[in-house]
Amino acid sequence: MPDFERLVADRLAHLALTPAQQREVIAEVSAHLEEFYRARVAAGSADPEGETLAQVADWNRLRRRIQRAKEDRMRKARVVVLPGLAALSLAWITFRLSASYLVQPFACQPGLTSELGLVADEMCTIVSANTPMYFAWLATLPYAGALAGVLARRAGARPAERLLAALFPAIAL
Amino acid sequence: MNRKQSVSSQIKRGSAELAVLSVLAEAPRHGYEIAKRIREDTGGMVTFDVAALYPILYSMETKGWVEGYWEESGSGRRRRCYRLTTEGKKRLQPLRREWRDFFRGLNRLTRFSDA
Repeated sequence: MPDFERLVADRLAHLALTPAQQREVIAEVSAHLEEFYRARVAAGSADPEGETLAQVADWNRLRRRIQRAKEDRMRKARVVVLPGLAALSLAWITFRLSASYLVQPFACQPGLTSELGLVADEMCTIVSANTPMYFAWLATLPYAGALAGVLARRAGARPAERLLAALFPAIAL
Repeated sequence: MNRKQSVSSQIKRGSAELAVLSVLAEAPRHGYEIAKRIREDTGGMVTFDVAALYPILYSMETKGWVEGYWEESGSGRRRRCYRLTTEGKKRLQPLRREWRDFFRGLNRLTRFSDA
């Protein structure tokens, strides 16, 4: 009899599940194939191995379908949204704390506004108070994204999910 | 085309769920037994190969309709069996009703029973 366990392990090697889940899937699918093979042999099949292997026409498709079926519905929230939210919150707190010390003193310098006159002065009140802060906030987003990516990786996210988590702070706004 | 495929895949998926849940409603079984039972009881009209069966079983397990557990066979081989959960039983009742109504409607439309 062919070594079905090895065959299944090779074909489903890239299942993105926990090692325990992966072992279970391989053991279960290979047990099914073994049983099918034995039944075909008992039935006098001329090609039991061929018939058994025909049970799965496309291993990549099976791998994707198993992956989707096994996926915990809360997984996306756990590995993408939570790290993204955590990074966003941390970035926001850090930004708010530092903004008052670093950004505001440069927002509206008295010398600059007096030279530009009233209109500029009015604009300064509106724009200068917000624009530098906005750009400073934008500047924090890559760091927030990187932090979200790191947190997502620690939560067990796959590369695509890590990217999504990294983009989350920018997308969420 | 997409709508056709979508309806077709919904019918396939719904009928597969009904078949698996019905078989498990009788007794807990492992994957091979489930496929064998469905094939035998439908006279070979409905068959599940490995590629079709396990994604459905795993999906049902994730939804909490069935529960998997390992048991050792007489030959010492470990096999994963599935049993219906309370949630699965609740799901099976409306599913049976829906399919019965569906076939009744189809029967009225196509006069299958007169053919």
